[in-house]
Amino acid sequence: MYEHPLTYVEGFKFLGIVKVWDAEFYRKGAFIDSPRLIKPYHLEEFLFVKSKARKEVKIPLTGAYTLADWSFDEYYIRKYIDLDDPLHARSKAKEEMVLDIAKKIIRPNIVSLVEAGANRIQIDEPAVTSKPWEVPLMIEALNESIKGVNVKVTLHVCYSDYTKLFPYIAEAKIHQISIECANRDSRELGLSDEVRIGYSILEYFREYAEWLEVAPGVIDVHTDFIEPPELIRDRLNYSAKKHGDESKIIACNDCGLRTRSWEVAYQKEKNLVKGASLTRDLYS
Amino acid sequence: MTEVYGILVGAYSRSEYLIKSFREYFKGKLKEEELKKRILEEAKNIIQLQSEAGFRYIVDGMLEWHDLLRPIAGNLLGVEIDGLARWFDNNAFYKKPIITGEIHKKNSILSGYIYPDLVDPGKWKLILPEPYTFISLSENKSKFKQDELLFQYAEALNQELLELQAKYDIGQIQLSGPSLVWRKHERDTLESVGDAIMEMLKGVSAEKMIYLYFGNGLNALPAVLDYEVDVVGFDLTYTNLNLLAEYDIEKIALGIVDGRNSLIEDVEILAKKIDKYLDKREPETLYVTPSCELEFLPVNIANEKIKLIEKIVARVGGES
Repeated sequence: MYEHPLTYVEGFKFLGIVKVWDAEFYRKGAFIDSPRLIKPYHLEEFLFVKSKARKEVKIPLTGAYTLADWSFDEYYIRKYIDLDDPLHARSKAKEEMVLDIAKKIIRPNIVSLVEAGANRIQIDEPAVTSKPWEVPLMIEALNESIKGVNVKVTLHVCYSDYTKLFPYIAEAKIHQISIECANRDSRELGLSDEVRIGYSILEYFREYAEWLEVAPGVIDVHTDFIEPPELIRDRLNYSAKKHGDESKIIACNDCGLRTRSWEVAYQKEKNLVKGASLTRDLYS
Repeated sequence: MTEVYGILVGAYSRSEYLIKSFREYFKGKLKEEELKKRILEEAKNIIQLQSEAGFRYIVDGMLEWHDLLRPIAGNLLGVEIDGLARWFDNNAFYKKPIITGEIHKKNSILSGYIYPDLVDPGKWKLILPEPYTFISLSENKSKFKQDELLFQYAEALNQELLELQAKYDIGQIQLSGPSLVWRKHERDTLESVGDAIMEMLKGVSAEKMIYLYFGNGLNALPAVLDYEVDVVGFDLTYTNLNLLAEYDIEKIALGIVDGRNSLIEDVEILAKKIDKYLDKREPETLYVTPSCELEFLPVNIANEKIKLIEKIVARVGGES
């Protein structure tokens, strides 16, 4: 989600690998000039998937804020490096970098996807709450990325302190938000607050952005445990009760399933569909 | 006349080769002896780079420290290691210590993690988390209050330091205190941390430094100036040097080289900022340092940052 998009960006260079924890690492690079998109990097895959899929396709893209936050800055900071106030200098440089990526990299990608028939995209911003004071910048960049484009937009944020998104999230011009919750929940059945500890955040959406569809993760993507449909039902039902409007709750995974085997991933997704169906039965 | 030197303030970047060696080791594809051999080879290079740059004290790279807290959390009684937590505002994570009971030292905490023998006598620099940073980044499941834990930690680490001091000629001991400046604390909190630091460093003869990073150093001033340390260091990617110059600090470390960005800064721009500081203040000693650990950079960039510090020290007029 980082290296692939930036392979298609001029004005960026990869520098080497850096540790994330223990022996986990990623190949990190720097913006060395104003970025330019070499070619839309999700288009071919979208067209292939669209030709095979029997339902609507949603295309995830890494957002401008995360691409910037996970990169070095050898271009924008130069203008401000002489300032006395280092926080102001970094903040100005970061703002320019993030908005430049939104306008010059992310928006052209989205436009090309929409022109090719995409109706639904997802913008992934896992980095956003690592610097809570930059949440408004992420929202501004998100809005810039989709400006003038007629498409349904999901924002995906995971493994984060979601309370930091509020109240700013109400300014985002999105239709849906997808968040990881199963990872922080218990595996017991039931609807009590103690058992459904991973889903308390739904109350915030009721208070600050009740019009938003919320897709709480009901499948933990970091374990081979196959969530039974009844557990998925209880997680969704609890979310609906906390939110106050069951029509706004969407069944979803915590995040991508890339770390699981195909067999495990398929079983999890089968149960996701069954659990969603059980929940719909409760409200029909 | 201010003496100016270069030093590092944290763990060094692991090379791609070493990161992949750790991966092979975790998967059981590389023997421990071979991993250790590779670590020591890399540590020697890091030590040589600092020596060639004329650094006053030398860190051994801390290449086996998966994070700043891990060797300590893994070797203290009353502390266990849990899942991942974010390391301040970085795209990097540490394993959270869980405090389950009274903190005690039983065996050596750091043997196996340090290589003082690779460094000339009197030059080795040891870096440890100060008590508040360790305790506040841990989860407390014990019956003890924070103040009690600060002192338990301080006492345990003091024993370790005295044992190390008996074996090695240590040049400098740095206590890293990001949690002291990440947020602003009540004066009472900062004062009790000062007492715990005094306990931790009791009987230590090496130069004692506290380094405050990932936050505005002004958050901890003036309280931290009363701490029983010789040197106070600041992360200048967060702290305004002009405002810092309002305080008289005899031995100061300026984290002026950005340890989290790959841009190799212009020597003259950074040197002029230090000149401006020296126009207002004349500390006895000024250390030029990176703003934080260099482990967030690819190793070739980290190497360049060492050379940059050497140039700044030479330009500002120190002994390098």
